[in-house]
This record gives sequence, C-alpha cells and structure tokens, in this order.
Amino acid sequence: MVELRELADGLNCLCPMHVIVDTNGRILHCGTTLSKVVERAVTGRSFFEVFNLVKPRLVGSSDAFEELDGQSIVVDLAQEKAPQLKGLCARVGDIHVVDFSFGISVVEAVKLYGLTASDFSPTDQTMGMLYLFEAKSLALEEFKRLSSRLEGAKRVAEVEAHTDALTGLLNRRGLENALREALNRRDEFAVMQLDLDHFKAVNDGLGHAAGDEVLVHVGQILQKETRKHDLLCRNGGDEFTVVLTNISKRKVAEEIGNRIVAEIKKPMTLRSGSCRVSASLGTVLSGSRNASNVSDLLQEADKALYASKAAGRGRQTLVA
Amino acid sequence: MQGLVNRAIQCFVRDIYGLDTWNQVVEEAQLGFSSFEAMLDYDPSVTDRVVSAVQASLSKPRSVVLEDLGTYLVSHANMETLRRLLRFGGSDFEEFLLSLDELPDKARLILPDFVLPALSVQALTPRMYELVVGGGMNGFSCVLMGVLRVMSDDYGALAFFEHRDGADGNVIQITLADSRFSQGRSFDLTPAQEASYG
Repeated sequence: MVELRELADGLNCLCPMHVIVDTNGRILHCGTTLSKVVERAVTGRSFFEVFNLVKPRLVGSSDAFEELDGQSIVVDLAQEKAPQLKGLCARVGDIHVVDFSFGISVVEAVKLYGLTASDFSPTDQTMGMLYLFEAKSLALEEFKRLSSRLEGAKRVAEVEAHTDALTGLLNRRGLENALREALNRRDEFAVMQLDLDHFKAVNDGLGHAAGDEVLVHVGQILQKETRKHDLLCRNGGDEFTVVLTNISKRKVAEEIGNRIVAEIKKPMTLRSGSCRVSASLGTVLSGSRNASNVSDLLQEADKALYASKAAGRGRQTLVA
Repeated sequence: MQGLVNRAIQCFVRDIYGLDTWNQVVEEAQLGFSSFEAMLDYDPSVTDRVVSAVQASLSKPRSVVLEDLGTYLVSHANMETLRRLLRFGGSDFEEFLLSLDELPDKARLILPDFVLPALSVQALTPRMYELVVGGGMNGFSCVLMGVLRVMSDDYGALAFFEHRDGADGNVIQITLADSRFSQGRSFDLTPAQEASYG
C-alpha cells in the first residue's frame, strides 16, 4: 500500500493542483500550486468549507464524495475575486483525490496568484495557453493598428481624388459627386461656368509659375465671394465651375457673379510682378429642373459663357 | 508573412542607427515607400534587397548585420514582446534550447502564413547541443546566433556558440558552460503592462 506521503509527492509532481481528502471529507493534503491558490493552511479542514461546490448539485447521500466520484465539478473559493476552479474527483483506495484547473480563467488566475512555469506540469497546457493568449493579443493589436492606418490612408486618398492639387478646390470628379448629392436634396440652384480671358498670355509672358499663382488667386476669390455650402471646382486649365446651392432668386446669383467678375478684374500682385486678368461668366438657374438635367444645365451655362465672351469678355451672362 | 521580417529589419535600422540611415536604405533598395507593414505580405526578393542595402549603408558583412539584428530583436526595449514570447519556451536556458524545435509551429499557430525554417536541436553531451537550421530563409541562422546569445544572458546562463555549414544546412553548436552563471532577467507569466511593439 502506498503511504500518503509518497502519494502526495507523486501527485505534487504530476498534478500540483490536487487535493487529497479522507472518507470523512477532511483534507489530508493540498498540492503545491493549489496551496498558493487557497492562500491558507487547509490540512485538517473540511473540503466543502474550503471549496464551495457550484456544480453539480448534490442529492445528499451520507458520503458526498461517493456521488462526486468520477465526476467533473465546479467550485468557488471564499476569497474575493478568485476565479472558479474546475475539478475532477477520483477514488483511490479509501481516499479521494480531486485535481483542479483554472479552465478558461487561466490568464487572470496566473496574474492573481503570481504563478510561474514551475507551478505547472509540462503536460499541462497552461503555458501554451498563456503563450497563445499573449501572442494572439499582439497579433490582434498589430492588425488593429494596420486597419486604422489603412483607414486614414483611404480617407486621404479619397480627398485627393476629389481635389484639385493646385487650388484646393474640387476637381471635375469631386464636382460630379458633390453635384449629385446637392441635387438629391431637390433644392433650386445655379450653375456658373467661368473662364479666364487671355490667360494664355499670362502663361506665355510671365511663365507657368505666374500662371499657377493667378489660378490660386482666382480660387481664393471664388472662396471669398461664395457661401460656405456652394461648390467650387477647377475643371482644369483656366476653367472653373461654381454651383450656388439653395438659390432661387435670380438677383442673388447675379450679384455673386458680378462680384466675382469685379474682383478678378482687379490687378493681382504676383511674386514676379503684377498682372491683370478678367473672367467671363455664364450663369444658369436650375428653376424646377432636377438632377437628370445636370448635363443640360452645364451646356446652357457654357452657351451663356460664350455669349459673355462674344459680348466683349470680363462680364456675366445670366439665363433664368 | 514577409512583412513581419521586413518590419523587424526596419525597426532594427531605425532604433539602432536612426531614421536617416533607414531613409538611405529605402533609397538604396528602391522601395518606393518608406515603411513596411508587419501584417502585409511582400515578395521575398524585397527582403534581400533591404538586407543588401543595410549592409551597404553600414559597411558591415551580411553575417554581422544579421547577427546584430538577432541581438536587437530580443534585447531592445521596443522588442520586449518578442523576448517575452520566447521566454515561454522554458524555465531555464536548457529547456529553452530543447524547445526550439517547436518554434516554427508556435509561430504558425499565431500567424498561419508565417513560415520559419525547420529547427532541430539535439543534446550531444550533457553540456553540448547542436541546432540544425533548415533552409527557406536566407541568413536565418545568423539572426538566430544573435538571438541565442542574448537569450542565454536573459536566462543567466553562460554559453558559447559556434556557427558552421553542415551537411543538412546551417549548424549552430552550443556549449553550455554554466546554466546558473548569473541572475538573468526576470520573467512574469503575465505582462506587467500593455506592451507596445514596433
């Protein structure tokens, strides 16, 4: 017959979270790792005083362990914050052995009780679980960071795809998108086509850098003379489109257009000297027309623009 | 998962030699971008180009650069997480050495695309070990030399390492002079705080 002492030593090596109980339910020995968990001397005390049985519910025979034999159990410890333990009971001769594990709460338990690798048998998967938990958390963190970086890059790319790099106004594609949204709101609006007069002369005479300065300056004038919710677009070259949203009065559109024409006519100070340009405008009010007529409206605005050019440039032509 | 390898090289150059050196490497290797993403895949030839560029920038032999990279991976504060993961291999240096066989599987468990060369460790005598490093990742055994040197210190062991070409690949011979030579660095099973990486 194996002595209790020998059995305890063997079990400490194989499963250090075990407890040995006699037929009266008194604890004879508590394994090395389990001793760190219960945090007090438990030898001689009743098993059920130290470990509150959560599962299964006992039907109540004279020997509780008789019922638990071969069964898996769940117990609570009296200590605060202590995670539940999972256990398995087995009868060995005239004593009972219960082996415990932390189950899924292993990460918290190791932290709470300050356990180390030597507290677990090499056949126990705890170390593997801890490694896996830590490594997976790191990989997940890295993936989260990656997706937030990609999200940021996507937003920048979207803005760039819709923006004219020189003036910061919308580009053609940005205008089309913004127009579609504006038109879905069924507001009345005005489309303004703007062309600089004799811009080629600026490029040829003062150079392309000066030409770019003029375009930037015109962009600033448009921003200053329009309202926050209006759409400003540089189509390319010296062509601009302005959409005045939520506008039903001819007079308001006319005034904005005239102010733009007047501002652009003023002499501009450039790094390489000063220059004068002017702008021709063609403006069309949408009236009751809706989104399906956008290209018609743009064409009508173009016609009005040509009328301005034909009438001597530096002016606005408005069609209601 | 070539991104993890490339990112590690980037962090090494950046943390040890500075951003200017890394920018030189970016230019020399003609990357066309300035930063690797650890979780994206890249063509393996990119890694080769980057290592060559690092070698050129630092004017050091390839094997020295790679061993320094290995040292960095487990000793620099920014890479603490990697040291921690490796420390799960065993409670002393000997156990750690013998667990190296499992390293490729452990890596695959976390990132299924991350394929490390096969590792096989044998104890020749109680104090002498032989680690055979399989193919598939150029210069991996040089990186491993740096990693092992640091990890022996980490565990407080005194060990000597010798690197040679063997019949079935690169071989690292390890002589363990004293497994409890010094205190080593401490290791708690759960991290002290939120670790950051890269």
